Amino acid sequence: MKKKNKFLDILKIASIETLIFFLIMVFFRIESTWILLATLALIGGTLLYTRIYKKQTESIKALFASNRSTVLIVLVLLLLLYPIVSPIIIPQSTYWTLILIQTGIYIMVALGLNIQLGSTGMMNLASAAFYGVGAYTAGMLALKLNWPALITIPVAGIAAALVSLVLFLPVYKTKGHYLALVTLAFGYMLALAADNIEFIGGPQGLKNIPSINLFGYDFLSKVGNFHFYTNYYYFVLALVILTIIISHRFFNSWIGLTLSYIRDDEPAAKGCGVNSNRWKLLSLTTGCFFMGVAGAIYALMIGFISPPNFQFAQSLLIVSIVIIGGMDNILGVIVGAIILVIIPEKFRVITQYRVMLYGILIVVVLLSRPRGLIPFGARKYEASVLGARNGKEGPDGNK
Amino acid sequence: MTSTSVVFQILFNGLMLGIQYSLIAVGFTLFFGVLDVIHFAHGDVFMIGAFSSMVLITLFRLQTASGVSYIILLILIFILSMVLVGGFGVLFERIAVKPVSKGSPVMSLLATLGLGIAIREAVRIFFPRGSESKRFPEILSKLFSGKEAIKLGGTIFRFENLLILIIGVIAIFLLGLYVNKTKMGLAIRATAQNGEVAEMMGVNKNRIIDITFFIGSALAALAGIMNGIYYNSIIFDMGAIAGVIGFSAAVVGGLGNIYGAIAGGFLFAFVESFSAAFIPRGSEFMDVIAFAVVILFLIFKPSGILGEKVYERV
Repeated sequence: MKKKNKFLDILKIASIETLIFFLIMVFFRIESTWILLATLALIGGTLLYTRIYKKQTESIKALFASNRSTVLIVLVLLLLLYPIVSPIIIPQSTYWTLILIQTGIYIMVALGLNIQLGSTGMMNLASAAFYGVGAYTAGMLALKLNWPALITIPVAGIAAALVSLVLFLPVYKTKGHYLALVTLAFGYMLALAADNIEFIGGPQGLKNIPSINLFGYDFLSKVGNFHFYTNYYYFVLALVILTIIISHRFFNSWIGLTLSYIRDDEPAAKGCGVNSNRWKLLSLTTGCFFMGVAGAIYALMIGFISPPNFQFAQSLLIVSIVIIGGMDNILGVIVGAIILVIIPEKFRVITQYRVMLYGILIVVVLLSRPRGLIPFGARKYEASVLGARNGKEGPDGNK
Repeated sequence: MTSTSVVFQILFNGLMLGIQYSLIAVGFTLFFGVLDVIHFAHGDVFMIGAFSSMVLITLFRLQTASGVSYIILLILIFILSMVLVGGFGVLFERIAVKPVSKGSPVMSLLATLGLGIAIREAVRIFFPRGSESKRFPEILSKLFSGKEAIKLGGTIFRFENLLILIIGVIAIFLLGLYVNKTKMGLAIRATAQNGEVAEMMGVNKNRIIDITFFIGSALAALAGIMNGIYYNSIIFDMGAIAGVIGFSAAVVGGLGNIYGAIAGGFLFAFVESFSAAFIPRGSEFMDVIAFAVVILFLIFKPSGILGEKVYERV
């Protein structure tokens, strides 16, 4: 009896997620300007539904909350299926695959920033610059030294972490406005340096960076009916999942707890014997490592990088992803990336107003929901510890 | 040119830039005093100052006027654009600065950054051909049309630049008088020292905040007009870097201290103009060098030139 119920639950979850998945596909496909109104109507309708039918909404919520692993598995399966299904449904699927990959890259950068800004409360307005350090490192190694592209990715991450260590070592004790100013200056300095140093291409940037090549198999080659970026799609998907897992473990471990302690009350943390300087540096370098890795993937996939890709406007976009989604919350960061990267791509009508709308959106979100759309919840250590005691779940079973 | 005249020229350029940076930095430091926020959109308020004065110049047909009416119109334009931008400043403060000022520094910083972007983009989109750089009319040169520029040992000082410098110095002098000698100034200083106690002593804090934002924004507008006259061209994103520089100058001088902000503004300007002149390819790297100086200050003297040392209270 119970087993049958479980099966029904899985079926329900799978069907709901598949429905959403196909709705998104349709959203990608339709080209007319009415899509804006239709989407708004759909979102409004859904919100209205949740308001009117509170009981059903609650039961769906409970269903999703109690079967986390199923939800995630179905989601990953759907994402794995995307390159196979999308050419059938969407005519211009190559473009959308590229957008999805870019969203993945932004999720990685934003998760890196989330460790710094969300968990530790350290403002970093130079995230695009560290992303650029990764991109340039990978580009230079692959282009000038002919390193295999796959090896340049972790090296680029380490390079970004090292650069951040060198830059932050003298100034990591500053906080608040001052740290914002320092990182802003770092961003300007690195962008100006990239623009003026001829060795790394100057304003022209780096061209023809070789793509990832695994045992003679070029990642940009077209296989059968699939589109151009399929290999990269799977590669980035895997890395994003890896980043999410690492971030999740980071958040739930005592390291994440320590970082949040420093964010909330540094003097108290120091008083309890937390070596806050060490942890701050750790959080800064870890975050910059993620940014560097993401930058390397971008450089290898697109094959062309130049200084305008890594300027303050980009840093601001990444900061907005973290702020609007919800600080110190992985799900929030992902939602923020989807809102700020995918949705503007669809509404080409508003391209001209896009940056202005970013600005207004940041102000409105900060005024109405200062903790982001999905604010961080308290860590549920107690529940998981109790669960472990009862033999139901491991210590990291749920968040 | 002899080397002394080169130095004179650089010093003069530094003074010209410094007076503009100081006027912006004073705003940052005033706002930080009364609200404990960094108003990152202040650079864009400076940009609005330049644009609104240009609009007023065409609106009043300044170019066709002559004689006494020209001077009266000119003064009117200066005052009107300062008042207008001061009003804008108060509006921005009400919309996006004061409501977030109670949150963490990160929040207020982002909100004002977002506000700045919105302002900048609004000008780009809604101003006619806003994304191009605009030629700022040479409004002051008409006053000195018949006269030769002053030459001092091979260095040329243009009259209109000297006039800008004098106007800037007068503005700072008046600000100093206002803050130090009037009752309102006393209230501003009291609020900056301790807002709650000031309120208990009968200071209307909200009014003081409005007044402070009005004054700070009006001074930024003056800096914007000066910038337009000095460079002869304005563009919608001129405020982005000006805001960062103004903030840096305020920090270098010591946040919350008006004279510190002025000193910081001049220091930043001199570092920039000297590095542009003496370091090879300096004009490309001058911002980098100036920011490096700011970072050095933050490392070795985080309280700034004139700031007090702040101890963290638990």
